[in-house]
Amino acid sequence: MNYLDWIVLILTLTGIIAYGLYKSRTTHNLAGYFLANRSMSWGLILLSIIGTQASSITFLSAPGQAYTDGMRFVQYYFGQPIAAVVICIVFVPIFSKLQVYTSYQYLETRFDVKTRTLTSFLFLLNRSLSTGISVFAPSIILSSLLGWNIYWTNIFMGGLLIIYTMSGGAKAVAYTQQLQLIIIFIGIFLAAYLVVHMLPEHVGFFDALHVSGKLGKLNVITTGIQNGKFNWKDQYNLLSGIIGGFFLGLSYFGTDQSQVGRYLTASSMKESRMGLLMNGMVKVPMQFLILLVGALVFTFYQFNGAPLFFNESQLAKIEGTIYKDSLVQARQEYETINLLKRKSVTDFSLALHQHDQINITRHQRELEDLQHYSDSLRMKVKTWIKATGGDNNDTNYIFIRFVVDYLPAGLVGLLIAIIFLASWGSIAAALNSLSSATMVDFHRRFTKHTITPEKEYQWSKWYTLAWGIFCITVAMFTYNIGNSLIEAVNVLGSLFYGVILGVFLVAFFLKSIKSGLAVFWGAVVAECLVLAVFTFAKLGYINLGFLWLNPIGAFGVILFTLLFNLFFRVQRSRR
Amino acid sequence: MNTDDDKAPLFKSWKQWYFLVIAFLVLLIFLFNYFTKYFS
Repeated sequence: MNYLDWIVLILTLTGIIAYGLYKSRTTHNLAGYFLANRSMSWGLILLSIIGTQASSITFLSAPGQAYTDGMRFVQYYFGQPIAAVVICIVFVPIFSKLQVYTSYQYLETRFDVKTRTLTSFLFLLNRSLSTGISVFAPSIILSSLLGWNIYWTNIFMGGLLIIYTMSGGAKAVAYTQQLQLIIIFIGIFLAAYLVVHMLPEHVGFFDALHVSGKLGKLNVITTGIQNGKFNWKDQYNLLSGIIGGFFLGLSYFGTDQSQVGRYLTASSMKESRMGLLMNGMVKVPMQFLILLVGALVFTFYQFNGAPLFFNESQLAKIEGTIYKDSLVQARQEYETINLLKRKSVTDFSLALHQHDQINITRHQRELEDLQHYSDSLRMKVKTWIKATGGDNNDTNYIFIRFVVDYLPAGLVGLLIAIIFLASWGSIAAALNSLSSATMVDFHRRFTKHTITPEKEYQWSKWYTLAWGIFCITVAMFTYNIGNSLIEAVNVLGSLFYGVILGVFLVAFFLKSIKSGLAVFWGAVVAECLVLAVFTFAKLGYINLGFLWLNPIGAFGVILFTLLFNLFFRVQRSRR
Repeated sequence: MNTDDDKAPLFKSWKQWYFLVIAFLVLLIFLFNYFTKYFS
């Protein structure tokens, strides 16, 4: 990074903090602090919902995911529009009618305080840990790539946003998210334009897509069927995306306070519904475009020679081990493959222009073989990194490495600022929701004496600060989560979301269940089941993708609640 | 939050909005499928 990058980075970040503080004026009570006095229009809600879900992980990991695994990750979002419709029909009218601050308040009205407290606790556990990862994820990437101190990066990543989140609450969060998203989309669009612009002269946008597509990176729709059988372990396919993604979406947008808190700020039910429906329509194309950037970066590296491993600091570590000589040899072989790829992909794109089908097929096969060879070399290097105790997943480094190595001065600073802004958007909403759940579901609920609105407001501000410090602390202790970071957050969410959703489904649809005790124990047993299934899958005893944990958790709660309800009824009748 | 103001904008009812959202998803899946096949 040169001085121009630093100027752009510092100006963008201070600009956002100043704007957040400017928008901080709100009434000194809980409705003002957590719900912006229920005054927001659907446009602001839409941007706030997007800004909350799309963290820096989305913008860093997704292009890398497309580079390594292709664009099929987009299928993960297919269930969300369906979930948005169900939430508009079932959830929004109830939350609006009851005028709740948190979604969990409704569960006390429907069942009892135990069930409300349990679900709110599961939310706090899940959201605080995943926010910790959201702080750590971009910090570790920036610190590895730019040599920054990880602890200070964590503090800047998770700490600066506390200034405006603490003072302005939901209103400051929504307005800053709006500005952040505008900057983010301008930056991503510029990066995508430059990827294509930096390709050789005779290679245009469609040629780049052909190269990427012929090498299997534009696999947007996949069935998950292998050898005539459905592969349950396959993470992203049409079926798991629609069913698993639907349950995850229903739980995330319907019951997770970080999202519910966004559309509760709406001035009317109409604005809430429009914000949610528009998000349902915008999210899939938006994710498609972000993944497309990754597929274009893949084509770019066919012409320009990709690094053997995108996280150079891990390679430096194995240079001092027994793998030193093997690494030198691997680098030489990889360089030769890159040269061959360059020649082959140039011939391939020329054949495409001339509609020369014979040469298209010939060069496509050549490229496939070379890709296979380079993949096997990368795999070898990953094995060495793992054997020496390093992090052998470089998916999250692919896009940012491209930015730092190839984009012009100034734009590098802007793209790094975007990583901060995207993080701040989702972390700010998370802190606001953690604070609201703590204040409303615990502090206010269990305090025996009356608290004045001013005091509640002051307490809420301190809870925001406390959760901010907690999330930074989690980030400080997070190390080597292994998989792609976007996946790590989604896996963590899937461990709890299904169960929380199950409780709400029982509340909405099983009107005969009146016993809070049955739902409470149903949720506890279902959570144990989800954790057991996850552990068995992790140990390799069963083949199951993580998205399936969501329906298992939701249906588990329904089933166990029915069983406990029957059991308690039989017990009562015996007495 | 005002619960009285719940008239669907542009369309006669919310059902038409829900249909639009689902129809748009189905259209996207078809387009993505075509995209996948065309470039592979």
